[in-house]
Amino acid sequence: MEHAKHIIRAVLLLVVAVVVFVLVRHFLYPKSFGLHGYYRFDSVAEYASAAPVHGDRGSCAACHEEKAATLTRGKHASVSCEVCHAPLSTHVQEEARVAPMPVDRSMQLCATCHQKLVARPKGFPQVVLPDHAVEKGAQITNGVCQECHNAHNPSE
Amino acid sequence: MPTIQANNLPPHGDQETPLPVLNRRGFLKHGSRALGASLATLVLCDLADLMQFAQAAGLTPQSGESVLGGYDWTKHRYVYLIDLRKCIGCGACVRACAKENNVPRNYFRTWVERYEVSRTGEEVVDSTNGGMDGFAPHVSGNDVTKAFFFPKLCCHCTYTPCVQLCPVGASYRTLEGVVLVDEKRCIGCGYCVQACPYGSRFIHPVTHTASKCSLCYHRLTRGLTTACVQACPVKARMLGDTIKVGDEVAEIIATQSVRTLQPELLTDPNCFYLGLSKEAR
Repeated sequence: MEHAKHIIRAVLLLVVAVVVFVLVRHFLYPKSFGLHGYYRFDSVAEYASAAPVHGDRGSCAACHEEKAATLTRGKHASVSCEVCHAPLSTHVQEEARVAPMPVDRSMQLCATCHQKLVARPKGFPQVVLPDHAVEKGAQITNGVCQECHNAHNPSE
Repeated sequence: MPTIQANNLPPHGDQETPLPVLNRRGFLKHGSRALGASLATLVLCDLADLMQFAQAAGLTPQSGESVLGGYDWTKHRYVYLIDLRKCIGCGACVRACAKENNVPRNYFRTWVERYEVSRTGEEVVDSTNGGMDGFAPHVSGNDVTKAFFFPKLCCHCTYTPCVQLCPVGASYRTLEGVVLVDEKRCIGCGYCVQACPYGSRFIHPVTHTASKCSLCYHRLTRGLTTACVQACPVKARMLGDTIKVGDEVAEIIATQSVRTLQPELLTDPNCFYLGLSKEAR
């Protein structure tokens, strides 16, 4: 046993080293770090817990069935309600109405899609604005496009 | 001998008053025992944790369902597809992204560029306010023979330069292939911002941490699609899931000629483009 002294010392040193390592790790590493990779797994849950601002495409139809039906019949069927209105959460939160839903009727918004641009795909309906409105004898006001076009179904 | 011992004791520590007295020796003795015991428990607990980590590393990834509220991240593998032939450059995606993720003004998690190319190969590229307000008619002065809009976002690369060099383990890639930034760990050194070949990261002006497209992770985990995909009126942007059977986007990627940005960098992006022209970078 006398000759095993140096081994015992080495083992003790090892134990001390492990203890120090684990202690240092405990205080330096955040909880859940390394669980699924070199990152804090709780961060994934933090991302997942954020509340969505926009709704689903179908969420508006839950209350505005008629408007949704008009929209799906026309050429704007592929346009999400929230593009011209606002994100769902400004209007509804936890299935309760919190504020009136705003709507952007400006020609500038219509122009983001329908202003004639060389870079747009050729088949896409485009006009030169505001010349188009002036040609039709309309006053350039907020909502000028809606004087002739129904935004929910432009061909109606 | 007993008298000497008694002399050494403090005056109020004699046999007749059995009040527990904590002298220096006693304090050190009991204190070190208590400290040792608590540290030992701590070490044992941590060791158990470490063993669990080691086990998890060797096994198939855990679902993480308990943390993510019923959403199983092993059952998804997201891919993104942008059809440049369809994009009308309306900027609805940029606006939706900014609102959904509270992106600060003049910073973009996704943005749209406009390319106008003349016959002689002259290029005019612009992206006023990231395309958020749409595009004004452009007079580039040369006869434009080819023009297109070019939406960009984080490519959610498989081999991510940004994650590789993060010195604090703040940048990471989830099991489904979403590259995220842990805001609480990020020290804002900006290495990742420089490393990203697609320019899709920025330092948030308020938090001073790296920020980027999260692929609307909070929406994905609720079964919703990303804000940009939902806002796109012409279905130029699509989100797919290669694990899902019969997925439309996965089918397009499998059967049509899709391209990724800067494939020579071997980052293996998961954002694919249809109709990508040679000028687009």
